[in-house]
Amino acid sequence: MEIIKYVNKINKIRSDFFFLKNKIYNNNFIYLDNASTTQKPLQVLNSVNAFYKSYCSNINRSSYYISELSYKKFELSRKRVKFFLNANYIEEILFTNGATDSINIISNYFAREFLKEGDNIIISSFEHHSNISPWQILAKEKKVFLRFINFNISGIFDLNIFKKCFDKKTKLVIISHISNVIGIENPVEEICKISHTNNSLVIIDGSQAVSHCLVDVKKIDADFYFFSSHKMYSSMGVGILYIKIKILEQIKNFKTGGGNISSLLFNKITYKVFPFKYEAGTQNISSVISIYNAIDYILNIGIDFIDYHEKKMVDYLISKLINELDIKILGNINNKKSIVTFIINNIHPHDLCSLFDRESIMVRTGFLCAQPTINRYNISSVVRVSFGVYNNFDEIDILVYSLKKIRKYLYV
Amino acid sequence: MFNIFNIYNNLIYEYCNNSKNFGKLLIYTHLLHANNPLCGDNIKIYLNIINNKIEDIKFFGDGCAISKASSSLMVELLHNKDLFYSNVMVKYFFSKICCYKNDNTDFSILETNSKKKILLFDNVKKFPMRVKCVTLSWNAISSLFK
Repeated sequence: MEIIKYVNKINKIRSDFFFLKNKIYNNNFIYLDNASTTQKPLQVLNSVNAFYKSYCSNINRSSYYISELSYKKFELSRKRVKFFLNANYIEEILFTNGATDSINIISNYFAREFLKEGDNIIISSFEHHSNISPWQILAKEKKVFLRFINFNISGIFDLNIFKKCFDKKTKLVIISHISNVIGIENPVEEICKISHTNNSLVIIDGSQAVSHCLVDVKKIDADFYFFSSHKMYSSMGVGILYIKIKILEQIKNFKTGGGNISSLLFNKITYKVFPFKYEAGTQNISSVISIYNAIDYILNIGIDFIDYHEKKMVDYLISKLINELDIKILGNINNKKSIVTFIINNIHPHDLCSLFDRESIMVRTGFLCAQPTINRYNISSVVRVSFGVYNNFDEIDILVYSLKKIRKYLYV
Repeated sequence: MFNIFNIYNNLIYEYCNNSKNFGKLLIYTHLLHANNPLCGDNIKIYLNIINNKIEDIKFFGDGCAISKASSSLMVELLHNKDLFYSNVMVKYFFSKICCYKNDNTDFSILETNSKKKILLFDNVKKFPMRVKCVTLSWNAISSLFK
């Protein structure tokens, strides 16, 4: 793409994010924590605003016009998600309260029935805590074993080691599409092929993938795929959970409450058909509706462009950091998507975060809710820069300049 | 305008790099853990308490400059002090840094110079996110007096 067109495109994207116009300490916000949550374009904000201003009403409860309108828009979002993920059936798309809620649903309402004593689960050791702790609890309860795959420090998934982890009792494989620490994409298509050959189902955490690269659940052949809406430029409070229909049909029990019941007598309950059967209680309607706008926003920019742009950001940042003394970047530097995690000798990440903040630069530090991953590198805390579509090269230059300034100030 | 860079200028060089207070004790009667998982501060406090007196104390571990500086100061202020004095010192620390209400503890027994040193961290109050770092080790040692 020509440079001028590229720069103009990024500037146009930035103009859609009101958030970027804010200032702190007289500097524009430089937001580099997109792996934690993304900012929302005006199109999404307007959608939420329009709901509350013009047709705020519950769905599947009443039959007046605006309730029907809410319901129609809600279901349009579901249809859009199905298209976005290239799912086969609309019933395969469920809305939850977030990615963590999705994992707990899979663990409590599917895996609890599916697993038997003595079974084992293969789980990547580079997972977010939310995709480890429910399995630890279930493993203890059901007396199943967790087999953690150890990555080498490059962070690149070793399929040969993976193949050797299976036996007849392996029932589930749990993996993130992209690690929230290392930022490297796992070969999820191959992982699913190998797992299915071994009669195991695959649960994929797509939280760090969905707004950064193409996700095709049919091509990947995932059995479960989940992520949070707030990590794809949409509102907080909603998760998307894809479950392959032949598996969904096996799930007998689910969360229950108002909205998913067709009829209730004191001695008998009849549930609605899916997907409504699986969405009890009042949904986060405005946020679900805004997902439609967020997906449209991403598709209008082009997921290929987002992937390309973020890769350029990552490569540019890495090229600057590797010239700096005493900086260690975690994981292979050639395979990263949107995330660069590093440590600096003699500057604790928390100190760096505070000093960056003074320069209006927002990064994430700590163990990133992924302590096993951090421990793999024998460290307790890191700095993570994670890009979104609205970040640009100037922001990276400011970050690097601030880093030099901080180091000079601290005599490091 | 006071900014966080000023804190580092005042604190880091005085205490964070003071190796005299850092390390493990070979002989100790108490080992306390101070941990803040959000930022990765993980500090152990070794104490050798004999006849109600802190004969020796050191801190060890990894933490941000503020938590290490505060831990280092704590070690300096409590070294060779009896438990009663130490308890009063800890209360004084929290009354200044966290503005805890004084329960009529008499702070006049504390050395003036020691009280001044605690005030080195006074400006951290302006940055609520860093108060946890300053209080990390002091919270851990409070458990001795409960």
